Amino acid sequence: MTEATVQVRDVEVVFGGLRALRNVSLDGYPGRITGLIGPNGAGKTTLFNVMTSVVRPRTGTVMVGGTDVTGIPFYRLARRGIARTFQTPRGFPSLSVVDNVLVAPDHRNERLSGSLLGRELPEKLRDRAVGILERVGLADKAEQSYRNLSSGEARLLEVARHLIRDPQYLLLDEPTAGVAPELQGRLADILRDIRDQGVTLVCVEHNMKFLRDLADHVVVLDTGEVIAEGDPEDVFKDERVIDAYLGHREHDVA
Amino acid sequence: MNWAVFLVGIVTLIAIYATLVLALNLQFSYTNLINLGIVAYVAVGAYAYSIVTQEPPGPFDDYKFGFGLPIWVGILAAAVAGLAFGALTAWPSLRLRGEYLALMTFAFAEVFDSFLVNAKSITNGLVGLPSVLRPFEQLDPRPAAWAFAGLAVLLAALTFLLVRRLITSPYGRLVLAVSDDEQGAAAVGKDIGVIRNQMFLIGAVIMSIAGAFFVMYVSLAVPTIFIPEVTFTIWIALVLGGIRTKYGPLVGATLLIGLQESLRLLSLSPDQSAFVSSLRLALTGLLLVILLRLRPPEHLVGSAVRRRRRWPTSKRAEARATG
Repeated sequence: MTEATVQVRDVEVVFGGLRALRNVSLDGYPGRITGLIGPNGAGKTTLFNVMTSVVRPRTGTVMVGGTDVTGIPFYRLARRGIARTFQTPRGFPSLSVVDNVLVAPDHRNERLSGSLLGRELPEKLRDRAVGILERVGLADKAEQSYRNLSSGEARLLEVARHLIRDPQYLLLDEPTAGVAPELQGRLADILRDIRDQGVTLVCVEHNMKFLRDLADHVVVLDTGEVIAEGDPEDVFKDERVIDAYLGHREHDVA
Repeated sequence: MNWAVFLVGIVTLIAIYATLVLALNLQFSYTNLINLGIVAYVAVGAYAYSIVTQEPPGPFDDYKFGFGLPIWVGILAAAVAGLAFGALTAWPSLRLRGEYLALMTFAFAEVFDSFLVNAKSITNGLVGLPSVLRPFEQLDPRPAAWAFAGLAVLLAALTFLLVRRLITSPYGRLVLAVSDDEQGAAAVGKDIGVIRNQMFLIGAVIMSIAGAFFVMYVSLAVPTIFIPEVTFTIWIALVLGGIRTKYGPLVGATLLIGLQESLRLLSLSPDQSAFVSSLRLALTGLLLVILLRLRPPEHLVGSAVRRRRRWPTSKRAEARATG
């Protein structure tokens, strides 16, 4: 196995008197989907917020591509090729679907000076945006308003918006939240496709079935600690994992 | 009242206000920046223009500066002063959101008003700067007034075209995205602070240039004309015409200034004149109340893009948390 490109090391986060994360470590590798699961309140999103420098850890480091990213402004992370999606899909209702993708790349004509000179984005970029919309199955809605999308389609569009920037790392916070079951399969296919291009994926997920089929490696968090990690099939048989999920399990797997 | 004189005055004033409403449209409608200190940016431009173009002070004048430079230099000075004052006020303020930014800009305007009254060596205090250079002074008064009105209309038209170009360009797409969802824009590498600053400063510069035109129109730079009522008039005109609309600022400024100035026609005796002028304020306020009561602030003229919410505070709060 190649060296981990995302390295979370001994992260500890304390909110007031609550220790949200304790000595948590996690690795992400290029071309691999690392799943992060755990019951409600286990610290999954907190760990994600640490990885995207929204929350500063008390101790520990987060290295992405060999550099320490703790405390870097969020938009700079994105410029380093680290893409993050949110539990609620982000999007721009004032814009059409294709403009939602076109706004993502950093092109010099997008600057104020380019605008004053009357420059447009190159046609090539527009074609590329349409191509990416085709890839996520939204090409027929390209000219429609963002408002017309279902929450599942908004999720696919959010992924498409990151794709046009060619991210090296894609961190997904509950990608199936609000996504209709029939779109979840399409989403999984897209994520596998991204993985096969060598992107490092880390995926927080509640939906164990989705993750079992998708992830190459699973890390289980419970009350702020890693209680198990490894191959999905093995991890989901682990007794401590079953205990942690007891009461949730049937519901989640079904 | 002479109809031609009335008409040329009203056209000039409408054009100047339309320019100001267009600038506010950039700041508020497209960037969610609530500027309650518009009058300060207008005053900065007005004083910069006056000081740069007026004759050097005589032995009996309290003020110390006057450069006697041409009009175009004065307009340029107004733009530069607007940029400088905009940058000065943006630096501490633009981290703030919503009503906090509104309070901050209002406070800045009050501080600047106090500066105008007290910095006598620069502003001549409450006496003001009386000998403002006006364009076309070599012409007869009537053609000069029409030529100036034309110049003001040109300013409004150029501002309109600038706003159009900004909003329909790739940069405008980015601006709209930022105003919709700051965190979503930051997630694809956009520096929100830069966009907010740029839009605020463009608005400030336009306001200051309009301020230069305003002081040419009234031909006297004095603190008593730069009162918060100017700010509120611009806001009411924006709401009246339609927030985030293409033609709304033009329609709003025309209706509101047209209405306000038409009341002047009614004034007959000095007594009645005083009554009507206080009535003008009351009517303006009443108009705003009726407007807000009857229709949602967006969509008076028909908006190109409808906003989901007027004050998307929860998302801004999150965005603030992530910086």
